[in-house]
Amino acid sequence: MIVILRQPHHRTLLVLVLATAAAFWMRSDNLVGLGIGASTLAIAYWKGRLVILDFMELRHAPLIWRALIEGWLLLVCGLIFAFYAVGQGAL
Amino acid sequence: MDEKLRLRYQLICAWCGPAFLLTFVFFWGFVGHNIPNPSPDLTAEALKSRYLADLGEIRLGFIMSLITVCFYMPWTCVLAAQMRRIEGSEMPVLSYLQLIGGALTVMVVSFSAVFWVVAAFRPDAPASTFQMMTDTGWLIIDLCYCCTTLQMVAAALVGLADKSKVPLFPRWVCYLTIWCGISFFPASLTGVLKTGPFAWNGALSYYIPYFCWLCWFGTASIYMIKEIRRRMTVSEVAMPSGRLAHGAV
Amino acid sequence: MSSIASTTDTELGRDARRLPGDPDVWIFIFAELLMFGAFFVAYIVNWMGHREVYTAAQTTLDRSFGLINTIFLIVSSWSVVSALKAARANRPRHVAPFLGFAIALGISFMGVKYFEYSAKLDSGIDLTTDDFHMFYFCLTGIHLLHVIAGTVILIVCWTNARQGAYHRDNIRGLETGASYWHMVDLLWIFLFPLLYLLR
Repeated sequence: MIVILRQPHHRTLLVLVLATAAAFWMRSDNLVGLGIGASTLAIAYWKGRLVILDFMELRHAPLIWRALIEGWLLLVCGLIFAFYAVGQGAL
Repeated sequence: MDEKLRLRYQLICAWCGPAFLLTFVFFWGFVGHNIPNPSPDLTAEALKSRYLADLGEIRLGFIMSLITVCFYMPWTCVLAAQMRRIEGSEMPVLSYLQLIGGALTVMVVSFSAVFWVVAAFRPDAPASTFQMMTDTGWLIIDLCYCCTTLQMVAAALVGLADKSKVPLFPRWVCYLTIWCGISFFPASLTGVLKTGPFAWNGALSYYIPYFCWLCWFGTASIYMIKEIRRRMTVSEVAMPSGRLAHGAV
Repeated sequence: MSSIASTTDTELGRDARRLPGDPDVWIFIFAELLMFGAFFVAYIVNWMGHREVYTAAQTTLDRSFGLINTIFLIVSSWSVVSALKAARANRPRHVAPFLGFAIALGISFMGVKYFEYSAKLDSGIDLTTDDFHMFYFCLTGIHLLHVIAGTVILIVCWTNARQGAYHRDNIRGLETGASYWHMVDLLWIFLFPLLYLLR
């Protein structure tokens, strides 16, 4: 098991599955609210980043590409969060 | 026809691009009251009132745009010729695809505008007539985008395969072309939706795709004109020696 | 032969940074990401203005379907990466099975979507029902088209892999297909919380 986890893509898979389960579980009680929403988005951001860096292998790509794709991730998450927060009456 | 005259016609054809762009935005967009365009959610009565409020301008805008849309034709032809030079004259399928794609685009845009002229033709017609004609026009132009997409994809593919020292289109223009071609696909949803960003007056089916199309068109025109001017310069350098003058038997 | 514990750096065997696959396709991928980004923002802006409609409508969604599909895509992406690593480690015979697994998961995703859509349509809900369902069908539908396209690309790669085409010196095509598939996965990572979780 430890040997398998030394491979970055195996680690990434495990983390992604756990993160997905966590996000799902958080919502299973129909909890709502800014905190839950923010956590859900944060998990999505983190998962996206793992896919970009480890699966898409942008960790080792020219920095311009890493900046563009990670920038996209940040921008989209940021915008979604901003509008979500406004919708929740928090902004 | 000698080389100089040939090049001059090519240049005129390429300049039809900017001519199309300006006249299209002016007549179809502004005079025809398509910025913003009517919402598919309007009641038939409200739509009829919209026409009657600016009847003269709407008629003028679309009738003129039906003439000026034809600037797209010579532009398509010169692009096809430029592509053929790159593709090679043996089986230039992508050049042909671009050619017919451009020709069909002219038809799609033309037919849709005709319906709006028809709508405005009899101001006493029932409101439902206005609505049906308007709907038909918008659905033609929004659902038949694939001819334009294929025109653009063909141009992008040839552009990417261009191995000349100074390519017709730099790579980023080819990428822009592909992106703009993709941006049309949500417009298919205009066939079903009457509200929201995917309706024919929405950001994702109207403003973004049309803007992308016009951006591509303008950018491509600039590079096509540059390429012809380059060949004109080369031709002028070759001319003075007399022995290289074309047209001499 | 590289050991199981080798890292990406060693496999790629260089200090220089490299974009996997064809750079032209990365432009295409970026364009797709931007287009979907616009969709996501359009969704949340619309949500912001019609929260009651959305909250009521979202109860019709079965989150388990969304969860299963997310797991399918994540595991399929992992499988594609495994295929790539096998090719880079010069084990061409191991590439096709991993790709086959990813394809099976892609098809399973389509199957789940088929059930989801059928269930909705059978109960009379379609994309004209309300704003939420409009976005739900449109966004997941457009994404589904990308899943189908990605699966076709993987099938092409799988066909090549079965003939032993992919190894350390011939990897670009596989990397390109893999990158597109990861993009499909990445987009769903957003769609799942956006449509199924965020209230």
